[in-house]
Amino acid sequence: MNIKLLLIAIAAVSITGCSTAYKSGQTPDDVYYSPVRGIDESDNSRKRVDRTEYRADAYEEREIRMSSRDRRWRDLNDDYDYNYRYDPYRYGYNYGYYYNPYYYNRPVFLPGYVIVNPKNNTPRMTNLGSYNNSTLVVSNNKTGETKWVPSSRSYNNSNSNGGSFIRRIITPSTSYPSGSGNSSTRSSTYQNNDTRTYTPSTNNSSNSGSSSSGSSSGGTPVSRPTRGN
Amino acid sequence: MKKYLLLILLYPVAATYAQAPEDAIRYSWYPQNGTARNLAIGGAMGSLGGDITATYVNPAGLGFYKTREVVLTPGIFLNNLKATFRENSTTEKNNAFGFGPSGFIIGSVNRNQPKNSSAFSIAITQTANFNNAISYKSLNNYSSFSEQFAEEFAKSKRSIDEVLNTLSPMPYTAALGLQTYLIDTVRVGGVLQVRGAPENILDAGGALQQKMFKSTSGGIYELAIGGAYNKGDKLFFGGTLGVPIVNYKSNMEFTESDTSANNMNGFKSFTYTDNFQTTGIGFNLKLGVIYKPREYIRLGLALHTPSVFFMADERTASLTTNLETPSGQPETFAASSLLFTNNQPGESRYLQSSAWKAIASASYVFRELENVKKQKGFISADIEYVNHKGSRFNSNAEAPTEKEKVYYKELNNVVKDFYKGAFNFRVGGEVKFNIIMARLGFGYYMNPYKDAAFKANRMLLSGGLGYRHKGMFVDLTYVHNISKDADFPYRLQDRLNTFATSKQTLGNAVATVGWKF
Repeated sequence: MNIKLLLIAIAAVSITGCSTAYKSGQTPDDVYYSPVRGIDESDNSRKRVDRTEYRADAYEEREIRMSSRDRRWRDLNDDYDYNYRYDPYRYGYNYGYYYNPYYYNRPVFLPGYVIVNPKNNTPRMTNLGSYNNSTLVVSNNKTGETKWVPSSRSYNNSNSNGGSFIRRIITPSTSYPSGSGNSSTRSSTYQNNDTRTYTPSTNNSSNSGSSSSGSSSGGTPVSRPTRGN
Repeated sequence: MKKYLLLILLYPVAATYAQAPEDAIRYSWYPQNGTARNLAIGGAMGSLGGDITATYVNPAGLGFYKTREVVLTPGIFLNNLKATFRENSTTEKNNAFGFGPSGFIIGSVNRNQPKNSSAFSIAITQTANFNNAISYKSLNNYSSFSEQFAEEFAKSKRSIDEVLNTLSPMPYTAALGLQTYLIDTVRVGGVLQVRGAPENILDAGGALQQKMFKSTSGGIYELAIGGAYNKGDKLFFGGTLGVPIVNYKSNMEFTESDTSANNMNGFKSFTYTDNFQTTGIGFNLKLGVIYKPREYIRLGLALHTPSVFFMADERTASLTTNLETPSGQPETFAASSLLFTNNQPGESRYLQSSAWKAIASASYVFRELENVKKQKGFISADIEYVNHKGSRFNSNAEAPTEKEKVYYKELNNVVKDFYKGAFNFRVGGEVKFNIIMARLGFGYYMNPYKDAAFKANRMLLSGGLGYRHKGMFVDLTYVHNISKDADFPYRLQDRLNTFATSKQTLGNAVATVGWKF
C-alpha cells in the first residue's frame, strides 16, 4: 500500500512539478549526449541572496511563534547561565542524583514473570539430508578419515519403470572395492531394513486411539481423537 | 538493552532458526527489471548509462546526466505456466501488476570545471515479482507425500507425546500427520515403525493420485539512492545504497487420494495446505565505473554486494485426512497447526544474505552529439556473474543455541552444495529516427543448480518503441520470458525423489513515461 502511495506521489510530482523547459527545441537524450543546462549567473546570485534573507526571517518568525505557545522555547536563544534557569522537565538533570523511573539505566527485572500466551517460533524446517547429493569416501586410508564428495543423485520421475524400482528405504552401507587400495566408497544401496523405526529417546510410545499426556517441550498436551474399529 | 529485554519478553521460545535452501535462490535468480527502454534492449545497462535503471545496475551510468528528469514505469505480467509431473502436463494462468524503476535524477555541471559533472537519483523499483501459480497432478506408484512426515518423525527420535502439544517442535508437518492419523506407529515384523497410511496402497502395487497447487505473490521492492561523478566525460564513478523490502506469500495445497475402489486398505485421501508469508527489510551497496577509451565506446564494470535481510516468517498449515476403519467404514480427521502453535500463527525471525554479483559490459553509441537528429543508435551487452551458492542464513537471536548454530551451518552447506555460481547475458540495441526509436533485445540467465538433472534457465526476447519530444518521453516494451525450472512437491532423504519440470511463458508489457525539467 505504501509503495502504491509513493508511486502516486511520484506521478503527482511528475505531472504538477515539471516545467516546460524543453517544450520548444530538441529534447535531450542522455544516453547519447547530455547538454549542459543554461546558467544565468546574475539571476542566480540574486536568488541566493533572497533565499538567505527569507531563511533568516522565517527562523525568527518560527521562534517567536513557538515561544508564544510554550515557555520552554523562550530559553532557546538565552545567553544567560543555563545552570540556574528553571526547567520543570530537566530538574536535577545536570547533577545526576534524581530519581526517574523512566531513565533507570539498568534492566528492570521482573521476578516470577509468567508468559501468558507464548508464540511458537518453530520455523519452516526442512530435512536437509534430503538435499544431500554427496557420497562419503575415505580420504585417508591410514587414519580411516572420511569426507563427503559431490555425486550425482537419481530420481524417480516415471510410473513406467515396471518392477525395477522396488519401494525400499535407501540406507548407506559401506562397500570396499576389492584391490583398489586407494579409496573406498560408502554408497547408497537398496536394503530391506527400514530406517523409519520408532525409537523415541523417551519411553512413552502411544499408538492409535490413545490420548497423549506429558511433554518435554513446555506446551500443553494435545489429545488425539479416537479411531473407529 | 531495553530492546533486547522486549525481544526476550515477546519471544520466550527462543528456537528462531532454520528455513529452507529454496529461500536462497528466490532472492537471487530472477530477471533484471528496468525501464521500458532498458527492458527492450534485453536489460543491458552495465556500460550504457543515461537511464534511471543505472541506479540498480551500474550507478556510474548516472554520471552521463547533466539534465534532470522524472520517470514512472508501470507494467503488467501475463503468466502462463505449464508443469510436467511424472509425464502429465497441467497449465496454470496468473496475471499481475508490477512496476519498474520510478523516481527522479538530477544532474549538474561543476561550475569551476565545466567538463566535470555529478548526478544523483532517488528511485524505487520492483526488483523481483513473485506473482505466479503452478499446478500439476499425476499418478505416483513410488512414493507418498506423507512419507516426509513419517521420515521426519522417525528420525527425530521423539515420542508422540513430545510432538503433540501446544509448543510442538514439528507443528506444521509431523504433528498434523500424527493428529489426523495420516502417519502412525505400526508394528511390522515385530519392529515398531512410522508409516504413512497411503504406503499401504503403494506396497500393494497400487498408485496414488497426487495433485499440487501453489500460488505465490509479492515481490522485492527496492528503494535506492544513487550518485555518480563524471570526470571529463571520460571516466564515470558511481554508487547506490539500496534498501530492499521483501514481501513473499505462498499458498500451497497438496491432495493425495486412493484411486482404487478398495475400502479396506485403510486410506482414502488427504488434503494438506501450507500458507506462509515472509516479510523483511535489508540493505545493499552497488558500485560501478564506466570508462570511455574513445568516442562511441563505453566499457563498464559493476559490483553488487549481497543484500543483508532481516526476515520474519509467519506460517499456518492444515491437514484433513479421510481414512478407512479396519471394518471398511470411512472416518475423517482434521487439524490445524494453530493447535500446535498455541492458537497463534507460528513465527520465526532470521538473517539472510543474498548472492553477490559482478557485471562487465561494453557499448557502442553512434553518435554522441547534442543534435538529436544526428543520434543514430547504439548496441550494448552485459555479462553478469551471480554467486547463487553464496547465500547465507543466520540466527537473529542474541544468544543462539547450539542446535540453532548446527542447523544454520548445515543449511549453509546445503546451499553451497546444491547451487552454483552462474552467468547471465544481456544484449540489445536501438535505432533512432529523430524522435522515434525502435529497439530489440535478448537476455539469457543460466542454470543456478549444481545437479545436472535440473534443466533450469531463463530466456528473454524483447522489443519496443520510444517517442521523445517536447520535454517528455514515452517508451513501450513487450518482453517474452521463457523459463524452465524444477519443483519438488516434497523431499525424502531415504527414497528417490520425484520432481515436476515447469516451462513458463511470461508476457511482460511495460510503459515508461518521463519528463525533462
